[in-house]
Amino acid sequence: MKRFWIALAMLAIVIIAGVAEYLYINANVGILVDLLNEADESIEQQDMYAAQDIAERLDTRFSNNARIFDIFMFHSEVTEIGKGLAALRRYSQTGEVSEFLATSARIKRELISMKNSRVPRLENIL
Amino acid sequence: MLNIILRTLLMYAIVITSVRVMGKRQVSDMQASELVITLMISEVASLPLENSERPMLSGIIPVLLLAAIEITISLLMMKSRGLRGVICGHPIVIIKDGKLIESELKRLRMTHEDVYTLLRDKDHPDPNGIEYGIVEPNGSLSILTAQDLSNNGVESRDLKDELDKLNDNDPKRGKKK
Repeated sequence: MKRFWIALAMLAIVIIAGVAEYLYINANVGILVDLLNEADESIEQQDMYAAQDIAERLDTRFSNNARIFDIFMFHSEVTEIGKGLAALRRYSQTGEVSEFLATSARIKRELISMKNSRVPRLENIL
Repeated sequence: MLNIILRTLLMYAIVITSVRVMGKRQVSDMQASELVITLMISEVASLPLENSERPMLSGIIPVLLLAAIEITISLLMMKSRGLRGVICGHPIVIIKDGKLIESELKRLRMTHEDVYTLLRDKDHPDPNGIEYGIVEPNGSLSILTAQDLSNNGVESRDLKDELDKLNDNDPKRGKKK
């Protein structure tokens, strides 16, 4: 019977890890995508200071959470998004609007794809 | 490199713990389900060690899940003969009264040479003198001589079922159902 409880504990760890990963990535990707949308709006309205501020917040937020993202995701994926956000911050400082928007769109796509790949849908399972 | 060393040590500890929790059967004669679980664990555990870009959790979680499945199924198999039959199979009698049973050999896709090899392993170069030769669910061959039967009889219920089935199909011994 002891083994049964150990098996249950293992199952609990597996389920908790799975749910934690899903919730963590879901919540953080949601926040990051919202901030990216805000930054896009600011840059389209020529509000460079606001865009710069948001880009800084995005970069800082992602850098602070990168260690936890690394636990759940391929490290190359995390590095790639981090690089994109650093570039975004730089484009907001230099005022390169088209580069900013293109990079923002690419990061958004990567983040959404990362989030969607965690959802237990048929296409992801297969 | 340091990361790989630490990852290897961690994975070793997790796999050893999982195998220990799964029990002693895992390291000796394995049933089909145990073999599958062992192969899968060894494969999954090596993935994060081969690729340091991969998170350790992608190896740890499947190892824990496979170990938990194995423990749960083995506990359920203790309670249910039906499930045990489905997952592990039943013993199959391939030698009776010193003669090879062709239909059973066909079912197991075994040749006479395979049987003779197993017999030689058991120090019985010839099926003569063997009352029953039984292929166990783990693939090994058990041999019962007339003397074994007179001493102990056939106690195992799954084997009794197999022998009853065989006797029912034997025109000399009983009616075919």
